[in-house]
Amino acid sequence: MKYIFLFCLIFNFSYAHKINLFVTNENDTLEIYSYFASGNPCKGCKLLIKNEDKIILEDVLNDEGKYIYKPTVKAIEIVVDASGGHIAKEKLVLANIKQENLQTHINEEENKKYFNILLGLVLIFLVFLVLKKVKK
Amino acid sequence: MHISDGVLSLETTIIVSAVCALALFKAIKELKNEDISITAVASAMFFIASFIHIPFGVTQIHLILLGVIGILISWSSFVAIFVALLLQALLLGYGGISSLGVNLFIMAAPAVIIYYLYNLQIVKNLNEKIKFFLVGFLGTFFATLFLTLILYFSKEEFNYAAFTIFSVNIITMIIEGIVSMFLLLFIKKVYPKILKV
Repeated sequence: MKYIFLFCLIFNFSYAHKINLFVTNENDTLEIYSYFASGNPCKGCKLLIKNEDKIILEDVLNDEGKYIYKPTVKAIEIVVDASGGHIAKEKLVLANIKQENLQTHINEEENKKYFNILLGLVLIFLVFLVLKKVKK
Repeated sequence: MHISDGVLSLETTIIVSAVCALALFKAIKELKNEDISITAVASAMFFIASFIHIPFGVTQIHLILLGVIGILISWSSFVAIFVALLLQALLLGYGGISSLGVNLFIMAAPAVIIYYLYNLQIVKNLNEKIKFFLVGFLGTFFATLFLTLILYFSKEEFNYAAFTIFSVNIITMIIEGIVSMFLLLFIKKVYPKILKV
């Protein structure tokens, strides 16, 4: 029983979160980082790198949710699969990937998230206001 | 609980979405003008609940409150959760647009089931705290069950993941049960008439 409980503590709920993907380019080497909405890294998540729908790399992210990849083609699609229906994917042209700081990116995403939550609440209010007018 | 776009097979997505579209149509048609305000509140509650992360041990959980929504608005849960899921997908990338129907089924169907269970005489006779705990617990239980079944029957590669998800979500069910119990006791104390009994 205690093992089941420990298992739940360690692995639980990572399934319940949206996963994000962040890719930065440093000296022609890609640093791929994936994390859940809670900020926890996507440890051991499955990583696929495709070029024109052909899988060129299949591996897992490390304990920090990171993977270092030296690309050999100009355009790739990165897919991170946390299982349970949670996938993050992004098509990238290598020349367009800039060097960016991970923490700056996370902070920007966090600020964007709060703004979108507020916007969502306003839109919910408006949707039901319209529905109320229609139903009158 | 949110399934991303492109995860499920096309057949599963179409069948579940079609069933859900019928349920949503019924819910919109039967939604009374005087129930729209509480439906909007439930929609906002669902929208926000997904972002409230509760630290638990070395991890965190987030709430969905399906049972509470179910007993507050019954079939209108389909409308409330549809609006919230659509905005979560568009604004925050939770779930997706093509998987919207499936996600709606996973979240709204349990809410309606809880509404009917809650109104059974045998449940009405239960101790209030146990009854409210079960509202939260079973809401998450059915959502996890539907998620598991949909993943299981969608693609063979999800078979193992489906069973794992069910077992690891048992803790979510218990936490949801406790949070729902306190929330419903509070609602009963301050505004009892919105509890449909």
